[in-house]
Formats: sequence, C-alpha cells, structure tokens
Amino acid sequence: MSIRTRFLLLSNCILLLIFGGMTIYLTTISTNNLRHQLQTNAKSFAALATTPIGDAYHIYKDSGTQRIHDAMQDYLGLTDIVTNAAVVNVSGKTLFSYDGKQTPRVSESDAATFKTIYKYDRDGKLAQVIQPYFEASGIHQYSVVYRVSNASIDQAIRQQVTSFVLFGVLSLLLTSAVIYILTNRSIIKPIQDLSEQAAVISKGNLEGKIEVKGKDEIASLGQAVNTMAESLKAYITQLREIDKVKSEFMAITSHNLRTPLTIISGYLETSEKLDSIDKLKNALKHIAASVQRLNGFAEDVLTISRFEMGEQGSDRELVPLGDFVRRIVDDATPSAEIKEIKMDLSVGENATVRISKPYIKSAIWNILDNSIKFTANGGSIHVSVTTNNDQAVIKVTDTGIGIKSDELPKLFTKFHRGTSTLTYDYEGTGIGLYTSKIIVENHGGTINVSSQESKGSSFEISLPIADNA
Amino acid sequence: MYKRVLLIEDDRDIVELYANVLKDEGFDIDIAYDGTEGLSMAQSGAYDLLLVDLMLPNVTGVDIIRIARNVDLSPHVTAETAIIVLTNMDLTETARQELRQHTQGIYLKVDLTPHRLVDVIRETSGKKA
Repeated sequence: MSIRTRFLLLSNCILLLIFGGMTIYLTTISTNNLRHQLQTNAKSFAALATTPIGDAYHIYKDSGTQRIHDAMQDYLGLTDIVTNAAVVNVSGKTLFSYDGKQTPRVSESDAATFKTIYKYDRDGKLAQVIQPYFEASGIHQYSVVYRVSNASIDQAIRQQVTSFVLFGVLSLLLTSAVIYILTNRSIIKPIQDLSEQAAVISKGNLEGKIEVKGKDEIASLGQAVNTMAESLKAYITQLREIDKVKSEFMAITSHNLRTPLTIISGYLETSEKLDSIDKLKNALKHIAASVQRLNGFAEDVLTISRFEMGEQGSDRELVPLGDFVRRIVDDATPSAEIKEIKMDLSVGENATVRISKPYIKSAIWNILDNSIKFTANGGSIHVSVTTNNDQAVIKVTDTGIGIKSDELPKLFTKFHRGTSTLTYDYEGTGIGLYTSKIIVENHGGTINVSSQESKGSSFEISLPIADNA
Repeated sequence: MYKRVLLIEDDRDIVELYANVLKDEGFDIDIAYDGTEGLSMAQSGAYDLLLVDLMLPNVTGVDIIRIARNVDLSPHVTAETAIIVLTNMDLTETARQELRQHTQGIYLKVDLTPHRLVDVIRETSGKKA
C-alpha cells in the first residue's frame, strides 16, 4: 500500500471518528435543549390557554360547540407543538375534543387532581399536559388535556444530523483532496525524484545531482544522497587512480626487471664464446652493473613501501657527509666507466649529518644512476658536497640530455610517465627519483632539479647539518 | 637474407650486447639512440631490417613504425623492409594487434639473447623468401 493511500485512509478514519463523535455529542445536546424548550413552551402554553378555553367551554357548553372550537382555535393556531386540546371532566371523560377524532385517555385521578399533570411517552418525550381548570369561584369541574407533538423537534434533529453528515462528507472530501495535493507536492513528488535519482546513481552515474529545495527533512535527505554520491565519486576516482598507478607500477616493474635480466642473460650467453680475458671482464662488468640495477630497484620498491606504510628510517647516525658521498661515488664509478663518463667529486666542507646510511645511500645512488643513464658516452658528471647556512648540500651536475621544462615538475612523482604505456617519451626513471625524494624528505631535507635541454641537469640534495651538541 | 640492419635502441648496454654479436654474424649494423634519429635514418630507405625498441626518447617506437609504414610520409621505405619490435614492456592486446599488422614480429628482449636474436632475424628472412 502506498504512503499516500495509507495517509488518506488514516486521516479519513480520524476525521470520521471526530465527526461521528461530534455529531452524536451535538445532537444529544441539542435534542435535550429542544425538548426542554418544547416542554417549557408546552407548559406555558397550557398555563396560559387553559383559563380562556375552560371559560369558553363553561359558558358555551350548552349553546354550541362552534364557539368552543373558535376559542380553542384562537390559541391552537398560535403554536405547532400542541396539536389537540380536549376538555375532560373530573372522571376523565372527554366532554369536548378540538379535532373531534381523538379522545384522550385520562385516568380519573389525573382528571380529578388540582395539579398540572405531565405525561411522557416511552422515549421520555412530553406527550400530554393535563391542566385543571378552575372557575372564577374556584370550583374544579374540568381539566383541559393538551396533546403535545414532538414532530418539530424530530424534524429539527433530522435536519441537524443531515447537515452534520453533509458537512462531514464535504470536509472528508476537502481534507482528502488537500492531503492528496499536499502529500503529493511536499512528500510524494520529492521522494519520487529522490528515488529516481538514487536509481540513476545506483546504475553508476554519479554525475547526476538531486535538486534540493527548501530546508525540510526531504531536502536534507536529498542533500545526504548528494553528499553520498559525491563521496562515492571521490572514492571511485581514488580507486581508479590507485588502479592506474598499480598497472603503471606493474608495467614499470616488469620493464625494470626485464632490462637488466636481458643484459645478464645476453652476456652470459656470449661469455661462453669469448676469446680474451678482457672481453670476459667487460661482460662481467655489465653483468655486475645489471645485478646492481636489479638490487637497486628491489631496494627502491621496498623503501617506497616502507615509507608509504609510515615507517621512519631507523638507525640514524651521525655521518660526515663528504666521506659518505665519496664511497658512493667510488661505487658508481664502474658504471660510469662503461660509458667512458668522467666522474669527479669535490668536498668543500665535510659537514656532519644525522642520517640512516642505507636510505641516504640509495637516495644519492638513484641520482647518480639517473645521471649516468642520461649522459652520453664520454660525458662528465661532477659531484660536490658543500654547506649553505645550516644545510649540507650535495650537488650532482651532468652533461646529459637534460630534461624538458614541462617534464621537470613530474620528475619526482611516483611514475613520471605518459598515460599510455606506448607514448613514453623516456626510458623512464621509474621510481628511482621518487624514492630519493621521499627518503630525503623523511630526513627533513629537500631535493631540487634544474636542467637545460641537451646541455645537462643539476640535482641538489639538502640535508640539515646535525647539532654536534 | 637481410644485410643492412638499423637498431633503434636507447639502452646503451643492450645496444652493445646486440650490436657486437650482429656484426660478428656478418650484418651491416647502424645504431640510433633516440626516436628522432631512428626515424630519419629509417626513412632513408637504406635498410632491409629495422629493429625497433618502443620506449624511446623524443619519438616513440610505435610512432616510428606508423610513420615508416606510411607511404606518403616515408616514400623510401618499401614493403620489403622488415620491422621487428624489441621491447621489455607488457603490451595491451590492442597495441599488440596494431603492431602485428605493421611488423614481422614482436619479441621480449629478455627472451632474446644475442644469438637467439640472430636466429629470429634468419627465421624472419627465411619466411620472406
């Protein structure tokens, strides 16, 4: 059953109860009032009319009934509640009846008494008034018997009930119509709109919005649905973003694993047929560099995952930065030598920093590796360690291919690459620079790059100098 | 039998690995280290076989192949010129299908040791004949 039907049924039942109760209550009150009024009227009428009627009967009883009739008519014509009057003697015998047909039955005691007697029917309505007539001398020979009619009351009550019922039905119809329109406009229609919109949203279209009017409960429900759709949209976008990053990560991971493996298996194959120790040494150099590349990549992935899970680089120790960088440059020299790249280091000031050695080592290593990768054979890479106020600065300057200015802001993002795997412009740096960035930032430092296309790039890592105290 | 080969590959370790063996096996081999250079060399029409990496600086391998196979853009590249794709990337099925239409084969570099590459070139050459 729809809300509207239930609402209408309920309101109609309540209205019926109210109108029914009101009708019964008001009818009872007015019936009582009317009866009371009728009795009062009938009694006063009887009190007023008895003497003239009795006089007329007493005077004209022997000369003619017409005069009596006329006298009675003068009075009975004035009212519609008394429909007949008759004169009875003290034994209750009818001596004269106005309408001539009905002779009232009056008991002897009622006829003989000096008091006015009121007779009621079974419903408690006044039916008869027996009023004793006294002659001027005070003798009581007759009583006048009035027949009282309740027809006027019954009719009045019927009319009243009819108007109540009519009024009730009209009110019911009107109320139903008003409720119908009101529920339709302020409840049903907004709810229908809401549910249509919710259906659209449930089919996956989160762009649709519910038009929120006013400030009632339905408006706030609409607002809530809008908010829900908004947060769903944000959540789905986030999921899609994660999904995209994940598949890019898979693409990069497989590429970054396969490339060193290509070199390792390639040199392993050729080494079987090499005819000189020098050629074998060269092959082994390539294999070692590839193993290092694989290892570095695995370390980067682990580092990112640790830092993203909120782990802080532990085991911080005080390290003289110049000596530390020198060892890393020494380690990187064989890779540079393969490409005949000249790599040198200058240490201006051997400042002490508080660092996690393995992490900072890979941060610097990734920068050096990146420079070696993008510097042509015979180029050069210059590394310097200096200080700037309270910062120790490591600068790596290469004579590589440089980076386009629009690529620079993307350089330190997780995967600085195009959206499609086929439109990659670069042998991607993948996750190396991103790893360096999160490591350095974790140590309270910064990492920056400046570059000129086809001239070279310059990476700068700043780390806070440790307080020796 | 293919004689004149152009290798378009930006990873110098891989270039060194493949080029030495191909030379030893008697191929005339030229090398391009980036997309722009690779495309202009390919368009000269001087080669029987192009070995193309996909991830390249400046112009991607896919674009090189598209342009080389377009007669209006590359009038010197004939249908006789074979193209073999060498990549370590996972390709989507759509990309793979497009590349298949234009090339004689798509290979994962990790599967191709230098001598295996020589075998692949000889097989491709044999199919043509």
